[in-house]
Amino acid sequence: MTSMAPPPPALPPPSGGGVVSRRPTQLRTTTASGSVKLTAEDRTDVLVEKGGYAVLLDDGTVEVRTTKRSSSLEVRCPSGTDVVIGTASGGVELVGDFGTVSVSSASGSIRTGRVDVADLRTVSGKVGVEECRGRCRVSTKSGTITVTGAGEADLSSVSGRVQIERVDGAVVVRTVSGSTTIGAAGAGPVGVQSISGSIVVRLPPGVRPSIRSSGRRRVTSTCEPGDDVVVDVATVSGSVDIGPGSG
Amino acid sequence: MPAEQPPAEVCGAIVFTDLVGFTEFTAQRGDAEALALIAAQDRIVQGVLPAGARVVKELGDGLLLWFDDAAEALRASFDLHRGLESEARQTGLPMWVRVGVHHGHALRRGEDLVGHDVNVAARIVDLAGPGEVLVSEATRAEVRDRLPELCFEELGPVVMKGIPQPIRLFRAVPA
Repeated sequence: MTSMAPPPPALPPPSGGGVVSRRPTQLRTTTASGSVKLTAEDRTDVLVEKGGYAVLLDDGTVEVRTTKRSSSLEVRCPSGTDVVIGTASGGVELVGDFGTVSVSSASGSIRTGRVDVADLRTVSGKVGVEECRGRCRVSTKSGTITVTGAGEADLSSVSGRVQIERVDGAVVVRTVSGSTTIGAAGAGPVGVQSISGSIVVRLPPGVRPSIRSSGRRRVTSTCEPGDDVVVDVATVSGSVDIGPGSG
Repeated sequence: MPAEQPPAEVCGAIVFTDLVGFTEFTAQRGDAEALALIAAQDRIVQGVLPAGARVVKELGDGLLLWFDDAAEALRASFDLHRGLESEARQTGLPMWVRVGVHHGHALRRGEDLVGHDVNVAARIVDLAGPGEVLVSEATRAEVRDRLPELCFEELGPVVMKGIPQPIRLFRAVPA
């Protein structure tokens, strides 16, 4: 009633490691306290280099199991692999090009390379996303969130800072006290809500935003008003600065 | 002297809620506005609780709720979100609640509930972001196809502090 069904029994190779010689439909792993490093590269199998062993399930999913409760894992997989990772305190690093990525951690940091879709959450760790081609969802309580590029973004943080260097489409950010900086391409609506965090929105030069402010602070904008893109901001006490970026 | 009765075991949906940023809101706006916010939440919660549900206890700005039925718990969670969003539009203030739902067993201790599944539900809400409703696999299994208006996006197996086995979590979202 309270937990996942126990995995089917499987014996690990004596030295750990192991190969599943086919492309997985999905790669899943769970660790209690060890770190997880996944490298996506030009290959067709899954290679566990350190800390665990791979099991191919009936549905084509490859499950990487740790040899000890707190093992650190290092795994290589094909580019474009979908991954699901759960950790308690270990950091998660995804190197290379992945498909849909879901990572949950209590306190570990999360860092990804290029992904199709990201759904990342950690309570206290920081999160970094190099490039998310589709929707990028991130939730953290106290860690900072840094996204270099995203198709769409839905980010929330309590006290951590949020920085998106470039988002092509719609973006929604919610923070309590963390500051927010967004570089928006102006092709989708921008929504930012905060209680006390400062808000900075940069738009391409020449884009004329329709600014809606439902908070209690006056908005400072150096953009010519228009209806090219909706920018909706609300904050109780943080400053709001909307202006053109460097292009 | 009568023999002591064993604690009654109940089975249903355990829901934890948490108002995000309440501490900061109180610091910014003062005690009176914070109290008004709590009162608004109380009013909304009382309005969305179906028969068989109750507020087990208040936890500062959060609540522990009990529902006989997991589907009713999810409906009420989204009604609570909508109520708070409406309140936020009227006041112009950011206001979010996050919700964790777990279906399981608990022992009654007076009006309170205790047990492993209560602890699991409390851990789930810790992982929820503002405006999110996160549910355990047990909750999703209990609801099955009774809520066509919702879909469940898997977050994966999550390791939680003090809980020996990973819990498979889902985000409930409107379909």
